Amino acid sequence: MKLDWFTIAAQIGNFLLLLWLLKRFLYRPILAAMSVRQQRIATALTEAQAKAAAAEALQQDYLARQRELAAHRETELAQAQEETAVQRQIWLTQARAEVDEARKRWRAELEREQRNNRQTLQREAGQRLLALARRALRDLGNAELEAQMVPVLLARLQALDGETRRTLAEAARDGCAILTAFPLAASQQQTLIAGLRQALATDMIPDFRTDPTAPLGITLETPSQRLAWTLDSYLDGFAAELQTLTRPAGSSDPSDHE
Amino acid sequence: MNISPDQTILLDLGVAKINATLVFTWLTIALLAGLARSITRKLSTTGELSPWQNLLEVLVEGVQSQIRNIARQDPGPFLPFVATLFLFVAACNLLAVVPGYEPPTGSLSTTTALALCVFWAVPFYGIRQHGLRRFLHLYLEPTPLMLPLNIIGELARTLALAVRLYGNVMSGGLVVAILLLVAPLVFPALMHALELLTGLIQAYIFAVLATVFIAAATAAQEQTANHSQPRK
Repeated sequence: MKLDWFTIAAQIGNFLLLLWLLKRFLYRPILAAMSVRQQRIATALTEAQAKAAAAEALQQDYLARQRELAAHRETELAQAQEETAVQRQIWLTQARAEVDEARKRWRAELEREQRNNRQTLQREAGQRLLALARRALRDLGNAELEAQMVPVLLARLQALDGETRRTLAEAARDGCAILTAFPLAASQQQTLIAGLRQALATDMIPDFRTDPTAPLGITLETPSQRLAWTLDSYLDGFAAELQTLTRPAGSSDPSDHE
Repeated sequence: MNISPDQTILLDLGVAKINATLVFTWLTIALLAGLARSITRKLSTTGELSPWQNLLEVLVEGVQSQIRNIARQDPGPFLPFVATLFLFVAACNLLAVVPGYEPPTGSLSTTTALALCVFWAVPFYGIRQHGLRRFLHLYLEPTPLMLPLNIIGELARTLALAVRLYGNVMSGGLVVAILLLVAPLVFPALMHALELLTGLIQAYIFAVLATVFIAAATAAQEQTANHSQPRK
């Protein structure tokens, strides 16, 4: 067996020819078609990935918005609850203040009413007591009681200052009268005349008159002056003091400061 | 009995003797090129693929995958050479079942020519990728004393490629011829079926070995380049 070098050379040429033909008609078109399809698939994959990424981004955005909405809702809810609590507290405070104010007003009104009632009651009681005292004194009053008043009247007369006594003495020169509810005994009249002359230093002769409606006591009347000691004057003084003590609210009543 | 189609001279032009090897090679080339042309004339780039286009794409993709797995490099530069070796050898071996067809790979001239192509392809790809100087420096590795052994290794490798393919194809044909004389009824058909498998395996082995040789050269060049770069 020997090598045919012409055949070898020809086969090398044939192989190179086949290589060129297949490269032109097989590998290049097939690889080009595969490349185009691969490119198309890659493009489709890229588009799909882009769409997937966009969808993912959209989903993330949606989820973020959902979370933000939930957080916003929570915040709004918390804020509303807080505002409600604050408003409730304000209203409660206002209501308590109004209730306190109303209670104070009511209590003040009640106290004022109680005070007025008490003062009215006191005043009424004073007046009734006064009327009762007047009636009792009127009922108990008699000539003896009035006779005992003679020294008292004379003592008061002595207690007057000189000017007053002179004025009274000048007025008595024009005539004077002794007014009593019961007739005085003669001795009592003499005692009284003597006492008056001594106190007023004048020779006066008073005119003794009796008036059953006059208050219990002795009254010295001149045309211009009047000197009296009667139980009514005590009662009037008592009434004045009672009036002062039971003065209505708003005045300078010490009970207001309780 | 002719054990090689080289001995069948169809036209004698003096130095140039047109034998059966050349004629069947041309027929095979015409068949492969015509088939490729007819299939790739209407290629689809959409999802709908014709069965033939699908077959070619599977073939090209398979060769690419094999080169990528073996060479660990981009299969683009080696694909036409390796795929053409595989297709030509496989076509010749498969067509051996056609009555009257004598596979050109049963000729030592053809296998020698293919081995020489591999022999030249190794420096071709090595020099194209890394330059002449670095490629020649490979023969001095690991020491200049290894230069004769490296050269002998290159030649022995080429001889082994040629003889392996020739011996397998030629022996297959001889076994069938001998079996026809001994048991002409069933065994030749079984042996032909076995020949189809053997032929495909031989085509695969030839292409894989070519890929290994080329990848070894380019990988060695890359390693040399990687070793020499830090010295700069």
